[in-house]
Amino acid sequence: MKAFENGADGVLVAGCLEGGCRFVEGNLCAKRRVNYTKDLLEEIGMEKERLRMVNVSAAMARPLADIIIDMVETVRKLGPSPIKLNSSSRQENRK
Amino acid sequence: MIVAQRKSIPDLLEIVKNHKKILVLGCGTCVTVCLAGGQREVSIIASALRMAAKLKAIPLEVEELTIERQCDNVFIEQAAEAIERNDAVLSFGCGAGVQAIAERYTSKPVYAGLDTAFIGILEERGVWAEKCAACGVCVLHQYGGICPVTRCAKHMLNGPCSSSREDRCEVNPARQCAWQLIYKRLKEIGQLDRLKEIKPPKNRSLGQDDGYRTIVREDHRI
Repeated sequence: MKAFENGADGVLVAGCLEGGCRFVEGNLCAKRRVNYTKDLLEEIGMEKERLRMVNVSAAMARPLADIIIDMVETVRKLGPSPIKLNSSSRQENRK
Repeated sequence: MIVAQRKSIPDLLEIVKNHKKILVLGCGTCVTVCLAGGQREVSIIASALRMAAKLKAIPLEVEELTIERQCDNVFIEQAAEAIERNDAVLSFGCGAGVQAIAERYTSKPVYAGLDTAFIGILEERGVWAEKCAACGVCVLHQYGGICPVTRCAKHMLNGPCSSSREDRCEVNPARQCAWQLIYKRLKEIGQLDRLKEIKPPKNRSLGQDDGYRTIVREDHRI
């Protein structure tokens, strides 16, 4: 939420593979909380596609790179964060 | 503990729409444990409100603070300065906390950010269930520690009704029949004979039907 509030266009949360978390079920909990946050973004009026969680291992460099490229593409299509846009337009108005 | 859940962001924005500076005030007690109004939730909701306001081009400053307990004057004092510098308070305490803040700071509008639901416990992770109706006369000793006033949909003191199916409640089959639970528990502790006693109607005037209640302890009054 803080990242979005500070103007992030998108946030990609990367956890370990399911079943392979050092904190046993930490990545599963994280996934549920990311889903909750997506709903919250929708309540606020932002596209929930700007937030995504993926599960990758340290040995999955290529798949991770593809995921990041896909995420960047998704965010590019959505455009800049409306939070950032509204903040900068307000600053312009103040000037 | 008291269990509550937050109102939606559009509802919260509507509640504070006439103010430019608000304090989102969390409570470190029951609502922290039920993940509704503690420091973490206050931080998330304050962020959400700031973002929602920006998106709608509403000028709104949101400050956040969580105190140990909103229903206690000693702890409320810690919020005095923050309340003073804001136009209104959006309290994330239970209904008692909201009213305690409103009674203490009479010149500030105080709003509820949560819907206070019931007195209950965490039954499993992420699931809270009502256990006590605060009826004023506890009868748990007669029912093996399972409350028919709260957990039987018909509040029957002499149960079960004739409509439970297996161990399910007819009103909502997703719920267990309280009377089935009472029977099993009394059997387990060797007190089945309690079911033979016919219980007289409860004194409802000690519950909420007679208006709000107070308890006075003369030995503690000054």
